Amino acid sequence: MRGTLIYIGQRLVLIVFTVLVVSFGVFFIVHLLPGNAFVSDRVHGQALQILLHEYGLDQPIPVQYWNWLTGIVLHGSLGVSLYIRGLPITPLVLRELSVSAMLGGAALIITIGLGVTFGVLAAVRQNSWVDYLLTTIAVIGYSVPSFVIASLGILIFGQWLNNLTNGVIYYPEPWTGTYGTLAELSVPAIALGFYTSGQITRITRAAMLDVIQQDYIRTARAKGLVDRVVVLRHALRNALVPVTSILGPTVISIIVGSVVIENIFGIPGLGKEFVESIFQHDYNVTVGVFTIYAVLIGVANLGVDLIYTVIDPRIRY
Amino acid sequence: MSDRLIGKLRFWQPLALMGALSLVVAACGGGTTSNNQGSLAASQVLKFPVYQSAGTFDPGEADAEVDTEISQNVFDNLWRFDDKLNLIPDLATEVPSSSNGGISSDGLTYTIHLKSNVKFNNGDSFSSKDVVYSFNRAVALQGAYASNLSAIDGFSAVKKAAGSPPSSKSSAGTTSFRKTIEDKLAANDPSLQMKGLTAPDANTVKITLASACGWCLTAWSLQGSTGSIVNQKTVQTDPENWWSKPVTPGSEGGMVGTGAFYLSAFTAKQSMTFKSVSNWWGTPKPTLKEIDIAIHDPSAIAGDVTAWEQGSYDLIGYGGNSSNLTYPLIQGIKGNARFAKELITQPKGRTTWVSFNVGNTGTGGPFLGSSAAAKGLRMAFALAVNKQDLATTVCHNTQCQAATGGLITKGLVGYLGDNQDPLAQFDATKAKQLLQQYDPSGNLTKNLKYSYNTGGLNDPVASYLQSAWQTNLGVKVNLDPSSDASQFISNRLSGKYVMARDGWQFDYNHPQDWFDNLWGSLATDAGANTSGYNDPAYNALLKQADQQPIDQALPQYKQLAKLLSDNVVYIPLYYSVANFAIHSYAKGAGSNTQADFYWDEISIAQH
Amino acid sequence: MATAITNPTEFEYAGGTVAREQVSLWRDGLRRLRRNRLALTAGIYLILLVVVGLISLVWTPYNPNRIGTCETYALPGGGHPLGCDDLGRDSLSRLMVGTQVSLAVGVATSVIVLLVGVVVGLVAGYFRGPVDAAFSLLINIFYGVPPLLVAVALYVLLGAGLVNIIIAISATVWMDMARLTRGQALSIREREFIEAARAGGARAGKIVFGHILPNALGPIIVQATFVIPVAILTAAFLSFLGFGVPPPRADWGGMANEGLPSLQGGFDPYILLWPALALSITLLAFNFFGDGLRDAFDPRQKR
Repeated sequence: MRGTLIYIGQRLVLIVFTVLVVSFGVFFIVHLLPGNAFVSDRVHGQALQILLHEYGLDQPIPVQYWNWLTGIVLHGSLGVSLYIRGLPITPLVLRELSVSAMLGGAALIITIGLGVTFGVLAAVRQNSWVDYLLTTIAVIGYSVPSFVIASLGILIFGQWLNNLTNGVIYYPEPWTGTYGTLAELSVPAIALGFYTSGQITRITRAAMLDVIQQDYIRTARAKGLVDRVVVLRHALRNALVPVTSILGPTVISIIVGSVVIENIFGIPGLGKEFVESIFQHDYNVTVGVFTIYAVLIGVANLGVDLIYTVIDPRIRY
Repeated sequence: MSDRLIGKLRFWQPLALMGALSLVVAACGGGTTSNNQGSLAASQVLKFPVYQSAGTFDPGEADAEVDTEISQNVFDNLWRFDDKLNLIPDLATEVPSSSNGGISSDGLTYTIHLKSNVKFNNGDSFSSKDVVYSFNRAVALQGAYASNLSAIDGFSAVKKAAGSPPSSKSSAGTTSFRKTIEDKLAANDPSLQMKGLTAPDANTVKITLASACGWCLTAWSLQGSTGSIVNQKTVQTDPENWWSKPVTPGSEGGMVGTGAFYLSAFTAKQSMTFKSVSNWWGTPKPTLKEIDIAIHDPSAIAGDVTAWEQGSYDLIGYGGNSSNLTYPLIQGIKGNARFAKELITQPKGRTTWVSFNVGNTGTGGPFLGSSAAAKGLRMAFALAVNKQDLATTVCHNTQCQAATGGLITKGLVGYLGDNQDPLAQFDATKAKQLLQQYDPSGNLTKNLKYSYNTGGLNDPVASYLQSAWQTNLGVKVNLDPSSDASQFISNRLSGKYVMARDGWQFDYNHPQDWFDNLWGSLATDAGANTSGYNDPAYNALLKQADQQPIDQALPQYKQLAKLLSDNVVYIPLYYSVANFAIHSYAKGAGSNTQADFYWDEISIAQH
Repeated sequence: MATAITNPTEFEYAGGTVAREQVSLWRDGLRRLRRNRLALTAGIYLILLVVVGLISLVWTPYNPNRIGTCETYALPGGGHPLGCDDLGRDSLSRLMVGTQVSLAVGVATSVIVLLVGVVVGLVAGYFRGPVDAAFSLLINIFYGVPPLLVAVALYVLLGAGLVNIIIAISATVWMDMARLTRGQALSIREREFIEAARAGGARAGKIVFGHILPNALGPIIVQATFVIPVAILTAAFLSFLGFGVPPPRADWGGMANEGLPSLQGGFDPYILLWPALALSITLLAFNFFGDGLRDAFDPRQKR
């Protein structure tokens, strides 16, 4: 237990350090970028200088970073938007984070659900057509870019099925309000979850086969236990360990994928904000989103490690 | 592929029909008259999407079309434009002229009488001091359109006084230039009071100009901008963010104006709601009770069109977003008999051209200077582009029209007339000949670059130009795309490109808006003379034109246009066309080129 | 269907040693690869792809950037087997030219990652101590940010351009290679023959590049082939989001992006479908081929 606490402590220090390095790096990069949020056919010369000054952008970058950092630590504020001039961005990005979390959560459930089901089925029916079909789907899953799946989703559900069923089955765009509707969430979440499900299928299948061939399963079978029970009780629990091991990368995959998916479907989450803020030179938003992602990834990885210890009590840190 | 899908594609063939597309001024709106006709729907809520978040509604700073087209319904100016772009009184009782005594005989003094029954949305009454405050504030803020007030005596002094902001302090957000300005204005700091702007009594404003001005009334009437009247009390509550705060009963702050609508909810990057002011002072009283605006990503527009067809939105294209309807979507709407008549096209007041570097010696290039050779080469490049074909190929004659009547868009004061611009001609033979004559070896035009910012029509236009110059001149021009628009604009304004995409969208219907801002010494002083064209003859003529009333100045402005084309400063490309999808039951909705029709002219008929 | 990916017979290699003679390792590997039909098919497809890419350097049916080659949004058929895009450019020609970008990004990134990752990994693994700690921290930091976002940030910093895209992507995918090499170096440096070389007075550089590297080469090469599809995918993501090679140059991600509006408009799905298909098949092929390569040359590694 004590070892685990020390481990968690070390990880937290690493997360904080990473977040600091990442935020400074990104802060530095975005402020080095040519151009700025304000310039237009009409805003140049003095008008531009005044705006740059208003937002402290005429100061040296380290000073600006220090101000930004103290803003977070002292006031919990990620600063103000430059695009929506002067708007505090903390509530904005938190709202967007919750949208992304909902989408990512749905995708994660789909990924794990599909991946584990397919993996178990493939392993149980090893070398049958089921196995071949599912493993092929898995490879297609992690080879086909999510925006392709998303576009196909729009084509099939938004148009073909819509036309065929005269609007009975219809995927509605655009996203409404903050959190959309379940129907609006469906296609994006599937498009996002499908990609990572392929890897989970593979890992589950391999792990299941590994476990199935181990002695204690053979013993269980020899004792006459029914196949299904054997599989679920013994094999699945042990197979979950390697699956857990790729949960971290899976979460990162979903975060990355959400950037693309949110932009295709116009979902008002962090991923869309990130791309928008880059184009708009909305520095604080870009840095804020980056920082949030770095924290998320750190926490996700730590969380996975802790889940490990729950699933497999042999693991100690 | 399903038959249905292909069915939608059938309209390819009659491209010729589209070629004959003519711009229809949305006369069907007729705004002011249609208000109380027919039976009204029970729900008077107007719903539409926009594709850009509000940057700022603060009239002192706003510079985005989207923002001003929304805030024009909240803020009023002394005068405004009617649907035909004529000036009509708004907060003032009349449009001053020399005949009604509003403008003195030397053209330097304007006496403006204000309506006495005007109230702000928060109940405050409106008086001449609000005009003085709003104008002084706009000049002190030095926002994008501060120069609209530049003719007022004392403008330069206030600009100078305000323009040296306080030295930077700690974190961004606490250093507030805006707060400083508000404090000084509240204290009646004389350094921020324009000498020429006074309020002799509560209902009279007197404006003295430094020099006569033929365009000032028009510029001051630009809504949602520096001529708009804001409420000092509410601005002071939050100089940074007052414009994004909803107006709630009992609170001091919020986006308060004298218009028929007020901001009732603001969710950044998601939605905005406006509501009509009960017992509004003006007439006609607004019919709409509520305006729901969804803020969407431009990529969502396809879904929005579907939603519009299903009735979830009443219109698409309001808020300066009319150019976001892509060609496939426009065709989709046109292909549907039910909706085809609800598609409204309207000149956008935006012209796109190619600027040559003619005057920036540091940038160089073969087009620099006024020698016969430089001019001849410019002419060669201009004549080598088939503008009609470009409009057909790139915008399918749907999103743009060939620019054949000068740089000022068709429909605006200063338009030269169809096919009146010699540079709009296409003559490959002559182009080739000129090139042979002035660059026989091809050395001068080697390694030429055409610079542009990516996105929208700019990419296809660049590709088109490249292949036109290759085919018709045999010159290989390299493309120099810039994915960062702000950097491109900075570079372009400071004249760093030999050949660059250039363009202008008019702010108000006056040629001064074009000739002051783009060429000559005024543009150079502002750091915005892309081509570096700065000819004494042009400057002298412009100064003269700017000081005279438009009817006397128009021939001079046309003369200026002729100077530009005689000197081959640009290659005219196209005029943008706006496309609106407006359900016929949204009575009174539409656009007058300048801006969307006001919400108080719109009503929802039973449908 | 030969399931190269999950052929259970691989497990029998689990006890193999690295100390096998190099020659036979390569020969064995090639033999195994040849027997893997799926990987072989993928390999043939990839060779064809390279050939198409090379051909497109000198010849395409139409000028891929020429606007108005045919009617805009023309459906497949006639002189344009894949139809035309929103500007009337020939889709087949653009698809062919797009091959160049994908292959260039994939291969160049792979080479850069190979160089950077191997050097960092070897140095960290061989010298251990503070050097290792520093590099490991660096690797961990890079793992702590979403790769696509880093690539976007670098892309906008460096500016549009093929070379910059390659650099930006390389910066986000070098860590796996470094970590793998480091692990290899850590284990190999404990072997007797390294001890012997060290005792014989060999310099560190000689040991690292003369002894450790050759013995770690199998997994490194396999890893390098897996970098290619990742790089192609990242590049496609980038250009799909609008951070691709500057127009008018055709690349698959950008083409898909251009095709999205007309697909969403219920208009002409082909503009998007062709590059999407090309991209998917190519990534599939690289993954199958990589799997086959791993099974053949790095049989100990489990997936």
